[in-house]
Amino acid sequence: MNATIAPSPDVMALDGIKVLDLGHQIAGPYCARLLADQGADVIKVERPGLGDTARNMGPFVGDDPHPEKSLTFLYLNTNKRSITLDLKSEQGRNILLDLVREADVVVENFEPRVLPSLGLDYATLAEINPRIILTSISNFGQKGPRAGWRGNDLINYALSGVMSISGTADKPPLKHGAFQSGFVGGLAGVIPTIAALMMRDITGRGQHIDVSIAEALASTLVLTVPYYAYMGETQTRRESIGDTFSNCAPARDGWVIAHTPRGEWSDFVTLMDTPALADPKFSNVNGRVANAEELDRVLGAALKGRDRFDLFHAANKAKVLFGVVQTPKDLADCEQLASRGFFHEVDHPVAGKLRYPGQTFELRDGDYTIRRRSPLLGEHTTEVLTSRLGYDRDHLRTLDEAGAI
Amino acid sequence: MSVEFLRQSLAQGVKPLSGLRVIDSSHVFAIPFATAILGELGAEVIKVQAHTRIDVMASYGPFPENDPGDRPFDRVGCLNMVNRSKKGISLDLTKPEAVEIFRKLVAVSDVLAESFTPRVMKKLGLDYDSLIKIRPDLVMLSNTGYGHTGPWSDYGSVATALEGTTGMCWLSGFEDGPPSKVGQSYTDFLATWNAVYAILASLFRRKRTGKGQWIDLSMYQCGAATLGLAIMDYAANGRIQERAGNHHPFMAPHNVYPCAGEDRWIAIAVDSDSAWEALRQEMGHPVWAANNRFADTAGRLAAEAEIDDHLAGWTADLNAFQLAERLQARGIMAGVVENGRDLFFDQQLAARGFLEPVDHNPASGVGRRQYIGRPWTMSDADLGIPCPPPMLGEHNRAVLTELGYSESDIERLTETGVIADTPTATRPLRPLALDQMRKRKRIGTFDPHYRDGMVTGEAYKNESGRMPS
Repeated sequence: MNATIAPSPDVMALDGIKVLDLGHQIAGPYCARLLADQGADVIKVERPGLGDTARNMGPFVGDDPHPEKSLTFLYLNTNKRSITLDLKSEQGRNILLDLVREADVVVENFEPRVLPSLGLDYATLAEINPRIILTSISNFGQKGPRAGWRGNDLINYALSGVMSISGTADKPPLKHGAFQSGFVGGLAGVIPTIAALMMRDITGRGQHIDVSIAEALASTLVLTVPYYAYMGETQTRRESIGDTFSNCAPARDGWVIAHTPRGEWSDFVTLMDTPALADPKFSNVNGRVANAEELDRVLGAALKGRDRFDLFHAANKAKVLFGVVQTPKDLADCEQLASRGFFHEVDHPVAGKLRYPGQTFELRDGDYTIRRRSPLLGEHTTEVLTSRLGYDRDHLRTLDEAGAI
Repeated sequence: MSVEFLRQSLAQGVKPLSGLRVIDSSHVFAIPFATAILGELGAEVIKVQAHTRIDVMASYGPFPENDPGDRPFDRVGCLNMVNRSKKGISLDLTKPEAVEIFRKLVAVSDVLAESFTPRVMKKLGLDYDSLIKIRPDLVMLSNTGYGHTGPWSDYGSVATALEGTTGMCWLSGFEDGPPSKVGQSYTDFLATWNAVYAILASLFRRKRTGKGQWIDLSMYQCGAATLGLAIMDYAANGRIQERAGNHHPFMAPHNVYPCAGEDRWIAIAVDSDSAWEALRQEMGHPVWAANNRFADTAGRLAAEAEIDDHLAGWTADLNAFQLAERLQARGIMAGVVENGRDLFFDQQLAARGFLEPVDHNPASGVGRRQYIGRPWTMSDADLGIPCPPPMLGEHNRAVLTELGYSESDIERLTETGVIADTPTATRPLRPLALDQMRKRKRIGTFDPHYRDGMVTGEAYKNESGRMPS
């Protein structure tokens, strides 16, 4: 199948913006993919031989640990091209600087010491191209007493404060599953990056953006922070009682999250067909906390008697806010996601045909498309170095023999 | 080179969105927080509130000193936090004159961000197709639970329930336990960031094409997108991923461990054999750790629970803050599980100015409080919070005057309840039941000195690991 998929007829937001993705694993690549999804021309710069470390991270298609079959890599690198460059070699570094000369954005998520140690700090890049925007995503930020600390998803969740309120009092603090901090870091990176592109239209200059993943996670603590600032109180992990309401509770065939009616409390009572819930003590937050054991007994029994999707649909039709705990299978089979065109089937010469989750929003003007499947390692090295930088074949052969590409 | 110019633009206060106006007509957290970010990026943001309907989150407070006071709706901590950096007007949109004001505002604005259900804006004639007649290049974002189309489009939503529906709860929780929520209203913040991303991209496109845009954001899809790997794993391999607690598929040990003090924990992640070796050294080479089975990753993963038990025994009497420093000094990934209070004493956050003090309108009695800032800095722009959250209807007069309404118009609109600065139909907002909450372990120990100082970094200096209280 052709690598280029039908392009959108509309002008995309970032058409013509040239991005160099020096990222690895999740946060940097996701940030660069969000730029690519809006039309940016993203060149992924990978290490010769190994490539992005995500290529070694599972899950793999068919559980075959092949660098072109990593779902982590495939999901995060659609709409990009790939070149290989050894940034530790003088020649590799020079090629990168040549690319920076006519690029708009560089995205990276190395530990803060790495780019300066390669002689690729912001000042160096800006000297070559004053319009360059360097987006650095790291766990704790480029500066400060913890800038040199090592971290990952777990450590970010710990230091963000999020774990301290997650889970229950009888258990240790808990983080999200599914490597959320990487995705959160990518989202936190793309915002100031596009903002800097807008600002460049005013000032004519690029700038250095410094994103902290741990701070991005901490940004979600909209109750925890004012609890202390407003009252001197520290939120903790609650006792696991009262969980039948606004928390995961068992239905007959799985789990649901019961929540408040958009109208009157009586709507909730009617939905659950349980007159005992009509007691006004259950109708407000303070009352539900004070009578949590009784609520769990009464509501718990009612929930257990019903199927989770029946409850979910009946509740929502009765204008009661309600969630159902869906599995990845439920999501893959979801009629709403299908109807929104959320999944895109894309072929790949090694990984084969796969369904890729897509965009989080629909646009009036222009549709989300996967214009380009995820690249093979170094697939576009020759193409990029010849067409963009005008290198000739002899030059490329020399670089290849030197191990620079 | 550019240093002088950079200083100049900083000094001139140029920001990415300077000169743009944003209208925020939304509730709860997701879109309010998004427009606050736009305000800090330099846009003028006008929040349109309703005096006929108080935000559903208002009863969650927290109130200053847990005192709702005379104007409780101006004193709600969680709402104030997400509504800083804006002006505020209050309109009763059931009245045609209020809709007219709204339309006039749209005509002079660049962005409208709203979170009504699909039907409401249409009924009011404030849907995108109607509004582009008066503002052809409008960038409008509509945030709903499931999007404006599809079989679930009429369903209401709240982030707490969506965390289950998006699949997040299924994948969060301990290996042997139930699905779990983590943090608070997580899906809201995914929507916040996706909203800002979509709005900025659309504004950038508008700059180059002159075209506006309508963004139909689905919070459900925001959640599903960050779980894309799990969905692909099912689609490709038929595997339904399960909960893994704080463990990791190819690192061990990788968990939190109890330390000295009340509810004190340290997170430790060992990502290589050399990190394991360094940890053994730091522990003083205990006999249990010399076991050959633990020498490589596969062995450690297989014996994860056993190692966790041993490590928990070692950390139990240690100071979490000091231990994190010691482990990091050896190149081992580690960090204290900070609680809400710790964040206010955290030196790293302080160095980056993450928690920002904001002085509120004296009439609100809120005083000076610290809010979450932004997780990014831009070297060429000062993005600090430009103004406190507005009190209800605080800028009615200023905004309407700018729209061309006369003094007598404004008086009439006030008399007829089109605009107001106090709620007409408020439900009682009571202090939080703190004693009950403490009993249920929803809050810990009260710190009476919470207003004494700003960020001091004492947490890392205090030998006992217990911060002064």
